[in-house]
Amino acid sequence: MNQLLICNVCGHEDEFKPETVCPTCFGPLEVKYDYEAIGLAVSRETIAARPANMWRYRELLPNIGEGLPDTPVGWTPLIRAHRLGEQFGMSNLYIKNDAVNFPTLSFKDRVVAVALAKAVDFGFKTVACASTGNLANSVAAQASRLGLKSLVFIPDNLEPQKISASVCYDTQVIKVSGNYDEVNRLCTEISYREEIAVVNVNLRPFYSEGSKTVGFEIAEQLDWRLPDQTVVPMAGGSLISKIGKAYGELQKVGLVEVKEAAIFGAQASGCAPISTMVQSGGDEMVPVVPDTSIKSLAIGAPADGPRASKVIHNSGGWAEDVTDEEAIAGITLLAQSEGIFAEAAGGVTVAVTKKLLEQGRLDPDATTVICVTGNGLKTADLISSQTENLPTIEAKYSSYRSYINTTKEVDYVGTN
Amino acid sequence: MSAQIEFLGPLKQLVKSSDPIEISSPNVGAALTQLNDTYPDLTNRLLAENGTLHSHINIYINEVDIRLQDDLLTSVSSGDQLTVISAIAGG
Repeated sequence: MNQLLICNVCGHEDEFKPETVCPTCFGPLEVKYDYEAIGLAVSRETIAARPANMWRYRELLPNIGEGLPDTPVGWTPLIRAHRLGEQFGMSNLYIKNDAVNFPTLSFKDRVVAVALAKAVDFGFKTVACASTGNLANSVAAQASRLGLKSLVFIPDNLEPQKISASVCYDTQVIKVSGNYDEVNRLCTEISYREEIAVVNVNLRPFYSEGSKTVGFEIAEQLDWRLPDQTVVPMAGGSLISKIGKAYGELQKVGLVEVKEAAIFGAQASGCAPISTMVQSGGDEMVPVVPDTSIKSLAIGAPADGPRASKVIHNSGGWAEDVTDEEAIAGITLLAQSEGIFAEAAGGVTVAVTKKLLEQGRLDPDATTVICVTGNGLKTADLISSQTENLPTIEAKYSSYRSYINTTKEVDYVGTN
Repeated sequence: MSAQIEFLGPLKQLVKSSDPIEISSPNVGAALTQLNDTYPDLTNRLLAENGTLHSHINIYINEVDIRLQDDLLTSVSSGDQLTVISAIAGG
C-alpha cells in the first residue's frame, strides 16, 4: 500500500528514507498510511488467520521491501490478573506481558524488528542504538540473527544484567560516561556523521511504529475491543504515544468500535518530566536531570514527551509518578500476585496504577490493562536484598520441619 | 579565541555549512541573532513565536543542554563549543 513520510508539524511529505527530521521545519517525521485502503483490505478474519506475531498487522506497519522478517516477535500474552485485581479491588484487570517477548524479553523487540527490516531495505550494513538496556539487548540480538554489524551505546552505570544480556551477541557494547540523554546526543551526532543506521535516531519514524503492535494485540486479545483504561510506563514517551495512535488507527479502519479509551502514563518520581507536564496542564515540557535507580525510565529530556502528554489528555487519562521504593514494591506485588517478574518499569506501572486508584482517577470496574514492558531478570539487582537473609537448612527432614513450623504462611502443617 | 557553533544533520542547511562557525556573543540567544544577520530566516526556523527555542531543536554548549542551564540566556565564553541538533530523545 502507498505510504509516505509526513511531518507532524508542517505536513511536508516525502518518500521513505532514513531521515527522522523534516527538511522544511525540522519537526519529527512519521509514517503516513492510507487508512481508507487499509480498511478495505483487512478484516478481523484476515488478521486472525495470520501467524501469531506482530506482522499480522503489517498493513498498519511500514512497508518492508524484502519480504516479512521471520523472527517471531510479539503476540505476547494478555493475562487476566485475578489476584492483583482482588488486591486493587479491580474486577477486570489484565496484564499485557512483554516481559516474555522474543527474542530479548522486552517490548523493544517490536521496534527493533521494524527498524532492522528497514535498515536492510535501505542498504545499511551497520546498525546502532542509544539505550538504557533493553534496546541494546534487542538490537544486538536481532542484528546478530540478520548478520548486521551493530554498536550499542549505553550509559556507563547500567545494570550488569542488562550489559551481560548484550555482550553475549555479535555486537560491540560501548559504555559512555554520562546519562542516557548524553548517550542519545552522541548517537544523534554519530547518525549525522557516519553511514550507520541508529535505530532510534535516523530510523525513528519506522522504528517507533513497532510499538503500535502492543495496542493492536491488546485490542485483538480483548476480542477486538479497546480497553477502557491502559496504564503505560513512560521513558521517551514514544510507547504511550504509539499505543494511542494504535487505538485511533483501529477505529479508523473499522477493526474496533469507536469508543473512549483512556490512557495513563507512569514515571519514576526521580525522572518525571512528562508526568509533571500532564499534571501542570502546560504546553512546555521542562527537562530534568534524572535521579532514579529506575534506569530504563531515566530519560530527562524525552522529545516525545509533549506528544505523550497530548495523547494522555486527549484520551481523558492522566499521569502519575512513584518513588523508587514504591516501584520495587510494585515489582514484588505483581510477582507475588500474578507470578510475573517484571523489570523496574513494570513495578513503576503497577505502583502508579495503585496510586491512580487511590486518587479515584481509575474506574475499578472498567476493563484495565497494565503494560509490562520488560523482564525482571534484567533489573534483578533491585530486589537482590531479598536474597540476603535466606535460611539454609541441613539436608534432614527434621531440619525442614523445624524450619517450616516457623514460617509465616504454610497451607499445611502436619506429619505423615 | 572565540566560541564556535556547529549545525548538524538537516540543520546544516540553515547556515549552508558543514563546518563550525566562529561566534562572539554574550549568550546563546545573542549568538543566534548575530548569525541571523548572515543567514536570514535562521531564527525564524529555530525559534517559536514566543521567542523560545522550538521543542524539536536542542542546543548544547560544551555538550550540556542549554535547557538545563539558562536556556537562550546561557552565557557563551571564549572557547565554548555550541552544537545545534534535532531533538530525538528516547529509546
